[in-house]
Amino acid sequence: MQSPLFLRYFRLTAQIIGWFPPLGGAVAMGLGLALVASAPPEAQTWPPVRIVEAIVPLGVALQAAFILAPDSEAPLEMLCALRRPLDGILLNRMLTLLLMQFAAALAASAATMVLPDSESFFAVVARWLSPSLFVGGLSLFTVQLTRQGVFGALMTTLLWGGLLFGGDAMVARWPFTLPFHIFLQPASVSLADYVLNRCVLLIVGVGVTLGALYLVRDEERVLGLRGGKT
Amino acid sequence: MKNQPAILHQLFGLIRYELLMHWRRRGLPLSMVLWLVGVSGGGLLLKQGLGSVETAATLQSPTLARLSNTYTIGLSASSVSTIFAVFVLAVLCAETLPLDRQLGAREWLQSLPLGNALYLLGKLLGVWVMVIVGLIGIGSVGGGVNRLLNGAFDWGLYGWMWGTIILPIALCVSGLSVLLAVTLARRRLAPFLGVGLALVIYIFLVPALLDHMAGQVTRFIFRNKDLIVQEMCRSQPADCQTLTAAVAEGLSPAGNAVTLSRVSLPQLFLIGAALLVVVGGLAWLWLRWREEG
Repeated sequence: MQSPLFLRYFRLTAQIIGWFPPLGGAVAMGLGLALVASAPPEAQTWPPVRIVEAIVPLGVALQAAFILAPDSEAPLEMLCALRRPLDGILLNRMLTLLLMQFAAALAASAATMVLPDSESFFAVVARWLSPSLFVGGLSLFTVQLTRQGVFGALMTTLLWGGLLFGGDAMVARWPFTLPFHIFLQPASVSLADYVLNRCVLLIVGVGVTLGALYLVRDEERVLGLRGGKT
Repeated sequence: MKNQPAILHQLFGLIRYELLMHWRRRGLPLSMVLWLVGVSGGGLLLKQGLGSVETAATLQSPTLARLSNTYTIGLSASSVSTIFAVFVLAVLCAETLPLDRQLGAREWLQSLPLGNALYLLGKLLGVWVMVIVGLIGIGSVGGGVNRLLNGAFDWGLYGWMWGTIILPIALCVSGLSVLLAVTLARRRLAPFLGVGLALVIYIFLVPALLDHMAGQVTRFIFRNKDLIVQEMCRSQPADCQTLTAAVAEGLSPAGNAVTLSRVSLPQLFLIGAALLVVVGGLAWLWLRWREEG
C-alpha cells in the first residue's frame, strides 16, 4: 500500500535537506548528556540541560543556511519554473527541518528529566525553542539577503559562539541587550525578564523567517539577475 | 617562471585558484574583518571592565600604564582570536573540497595530469596562504588600533602571542577542517563537520593554550616586578611599604596572581603537526580509494 501523499512529500523533502544533521545533533546531545551525567558532581561545570540548549539552536541555524542557498542549489532555475512558488518550497523545507530538529530536541529534553536536579519539561523546551527559531530565522534571512549559504553559517557561528561565551557579560555591561541573549539563564533573571526575552526571540525569529520568505518571492533576485551578489 | 618544474606550476596554479575562490566567496575575508573588529575592540572593552581596579599609580606612570596595557591587550586579543580561529575557520574552511565536487571542478581537475597528493597540498596551501595573510593583517592593524585606543604596550609579547599561539592554532584548525571534509560530496554537511571539529579542538586543545597564554602574560608582569614596585613607590611614596608588600605577595609564585603555565608548547605543536600529517595521509588514501580504486 502506498503511503499518504504528505508522508511521501515529507520524506522527499527530508532527503533533499538532509536527515544527517538532526541525527548528528541527537547523537551529540546523547553523548553530551551521558558524559555530564556520568561525571562526578564537582566536575560538572555545566548542568546537563545546557547541552541541549547549546546544540539545538546551532543545528537548526546551520542547516537552515543551506536548505535553499541560491549559490549551492543546483536546480534553482528549475525550482523557479515550477507552478509552486519558491516561498512555498522554502517554507516547506524550513518546516521539515524544524520538525526533524525539534523531534531530536524533544527526545533530548525528555532524557534530561531522568537526571538529578532536572527542570520541568516546559522549562527545558523554553530554553531552546525561541533561540532556535531566532538564530534559524536570522540564518535563513542572511542567506536569502546575500544569496550565499556560507554567510548564514558564518553569522550563526559567530552569534552562537559570541553569546555562549560572552552573552552574560554583554547583558551585565549593556542591560538593554537582555531580550537578545539566546542563552539567558532563568535563574539569573526575574521570571518577567525571562518571559520577555523568550517572547522577543520568538517574535524576531518568526519575523525574519517571514522576511526570508518575502525575499525569495522575487525570483529574478534569487537567480542573481537583479540585486544581491551574482 | 618558465624554468619551473611542471609540478610547481600546478601547485602555484592550485594555490591561486583557491585564493581566488575564497576571495570571491567573501566568507573568509568577511570573517577576518569581524575578527579585526573583535581584536581592536576587545582591548578597549576589557580595559574599561578593569577600570575599577586601575590604581592612581597606573594612571600616573607611563611605565605602569604600558605594562597594564600589555596585560589587557594580550589577554583580550588572544582570547578573541582563539575563539575566532577555532570556530570560524573550522566552519568556513570545511567547504573547500566539497565545493569542488559540488561544482564539478573535481571531475575536471581529475581529467588533468594532477595527482591527488598535489591536489590536496594545493588546496591546503591555498587556504593557509589566505589565513596567514589575514592573520598578519589582523595582528598588525589590530595592534595599531589598540595602540591608538589604549596607549603604548609591549609589541614583543604581542607579536610572540600571534606567532606562537594564534597562527599555529589557526593553521592546525583550518588544515584539519579542509582535509577532514574530503569525504563529503556536498557542501551542506561541511559546516556541521566544521562545528564538530571546532568543539573537539575547543574541549581538548584550547584550555591548554589559554592556560599557556595567561601564564606567559603573567610571566611578563612577573619579570617587571621590580619596575612596578619602583614606579608605584615613586608616585605614592607614603604608601610605598604597603604597596611593596602587596606586590611582592601578589606576584610571587605562591601568590594568586601568578599562574605559570603547565603546558609545553613544543609538545602541543608536535601533536598538531602529527594530527595534520595523519589526517592528510588518510585524506589522500580516501581520495585514492574513492576516485581511483
